[in-house]
Amino acid sequence: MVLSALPATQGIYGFVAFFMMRSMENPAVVFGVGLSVGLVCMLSAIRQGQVCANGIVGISQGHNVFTNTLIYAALPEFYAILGLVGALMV
Amino acid sequence: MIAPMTKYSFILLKGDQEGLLEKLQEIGLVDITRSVKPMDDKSAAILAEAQRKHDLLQSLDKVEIPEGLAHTAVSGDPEQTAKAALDQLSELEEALKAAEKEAAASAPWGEYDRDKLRAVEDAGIPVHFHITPAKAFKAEWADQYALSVVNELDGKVYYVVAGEDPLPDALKRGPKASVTDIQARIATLQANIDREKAVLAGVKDVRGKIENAARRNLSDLDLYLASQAAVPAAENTLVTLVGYAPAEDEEAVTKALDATGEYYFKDAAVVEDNPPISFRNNKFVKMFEVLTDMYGRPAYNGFDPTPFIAVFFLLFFAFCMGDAGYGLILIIIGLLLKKVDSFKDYAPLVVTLGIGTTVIGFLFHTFFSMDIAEWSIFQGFPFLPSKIAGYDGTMVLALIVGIVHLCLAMVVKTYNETKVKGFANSLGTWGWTLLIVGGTAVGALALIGVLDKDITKWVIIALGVVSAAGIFLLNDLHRNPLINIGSGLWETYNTVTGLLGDVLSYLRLYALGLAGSMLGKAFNDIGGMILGDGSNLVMWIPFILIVLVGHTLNIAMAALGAFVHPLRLNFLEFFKNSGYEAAGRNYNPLKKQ
Repeated sequence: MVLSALPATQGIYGFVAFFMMRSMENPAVVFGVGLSVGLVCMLSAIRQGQVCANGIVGISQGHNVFTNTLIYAALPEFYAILGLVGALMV
Repeated sequence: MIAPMTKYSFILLKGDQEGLLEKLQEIGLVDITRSVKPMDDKSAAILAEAQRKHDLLQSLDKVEIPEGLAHTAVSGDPEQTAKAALDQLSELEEALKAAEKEAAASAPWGEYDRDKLRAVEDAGIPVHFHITPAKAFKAEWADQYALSVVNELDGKVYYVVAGEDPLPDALKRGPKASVTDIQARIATLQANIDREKAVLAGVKDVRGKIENAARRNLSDLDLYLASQAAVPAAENTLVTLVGYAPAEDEEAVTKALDATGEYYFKDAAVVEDNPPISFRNNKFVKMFEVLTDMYGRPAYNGFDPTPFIAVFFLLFFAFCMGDAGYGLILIIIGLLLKKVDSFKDYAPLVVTLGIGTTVIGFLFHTFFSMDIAEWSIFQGFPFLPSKIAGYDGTMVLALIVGIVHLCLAMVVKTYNETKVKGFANSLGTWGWTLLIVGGTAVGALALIGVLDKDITKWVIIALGVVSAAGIFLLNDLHRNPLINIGSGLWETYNTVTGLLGDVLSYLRLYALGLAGSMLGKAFNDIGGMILGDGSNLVMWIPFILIVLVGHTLNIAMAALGAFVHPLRLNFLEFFKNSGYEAAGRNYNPLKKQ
């Protein structure tokens, strides 16, 4: 369950970026930052989903890879986090 | 900390090992190095038997016993009785489902005499049953054919045609029985189901017997696997066995072993023996051993990382949640978990994480995503400033905590390496620790004005020179100095690039806390927009629903992130910089299940 839900957090980062930018007035900046955060979050979620899916397959085959999958799955998410932090610093 | 272990070596006559192992199983303190999985047909069969009993108990738990049903006392073997009754119940429930389906299909056709119908068919007049949508049914068909409408229900017409039948939608087979007949069959099936459930209720009354039998199977398996670990010697006339127990239990183990009369000798375990690892920690740290076990236990000459995980996982988790309201919810969840058998072991951990989250949440002045610094009752409370040196206060704090975490990791690595290899063989590590931890400490002191510029400069230069000697020249005293320089350069490249990434990695603490807080704030704002000024009482219902569902979802997502990311910061950043290796195995004494 944890592994399946993990890539969903990028959706929240996208939403937070949107929420933080409501008060921004320059449409070009909003578009650029929104596009960047959206792309970074989407790509990182896809890659994280692949890591999690492989982990889930491994677990279903009886391998003890839950912890390793958690650690590896947190790697692609870091870029989504950096994307969000970058957006907040604009 | 890692508990010191005593190694017990046994020399036994072939065939004596079973008796000794049974005795060790009774003591429950000695870990015999053995396989943890079935290794041959016999062990696989024992495990399969235990699994069968476990599955049987699970199936038994799923059976709902109607209230007031008299329990049938079990006369024979409860396991066999349960299995037979479960098989029978499964068949009966299938038949009941089919009968109910048939009853639903037959109901529109009403009551009729099946014998008379058969007599008509025997006379050479076939009877066809039809179900046609009301829109497609034509009233004139009644004049053209021997047709009789039986029922009109839910936009469909149910009718029968005798003799010639060119009309559409004819059923291949009409209803097999009348509703009354099917209802009678259902009643019989229900009675039989109740009879089987009464038997199963009787088995449930003695389910402890099946549980004990399953536990015995597992004990037998453990015993068998331990007996297979015996090594034959002296032309197969003797066997040897090796076991480990914590040194603090030596007196109890020795007393029990002396009573067996078997020959053994004992020594303090050394790292080359690769003894199992048992932790000795206080109550607080013990709660976090489950996290260490997720990664793996250290080697015997390594260090127990649990005390560090206990402090920093708690801090990081609280940082990521960062909401006093969510902390209180976690405390309540933890207290409720105490009442659930399968989760009660985790209840203290959840309560502790909740307390940490509440404290940090107050420090971050956030309560259910509301800024409590704006509340008059908290005026003057020492909250974390929103800006530190022009940057977001939480972000700066996350980086400071990260730097402290990494510095601590390096100190731990230096201490442990010095303990294992000796001071002279760990000068390279000392160099790095002196440079980074010393440099950070001096930089921090200069930043807060304790050290003036000139002193800082000279201390940094001195640190740099001493560290460089360790990093580039003395990193391996038994190696060519030129190779040491090359190795030091490579190490420098790895450390500089790795350390920057490691420090930045702690930004996730800030980002996760912010994401949770913003999402909660979004739900508060949406609810607030719907509520307006609160004068319309009806609007309180959607407001409460939105806030309740929104924050429940947010707590779930925030808790997921607050579990995974702090775990990663401990397992990756801390373990890498502290040189932790999960080379040990868990202490698993032979004991009765």
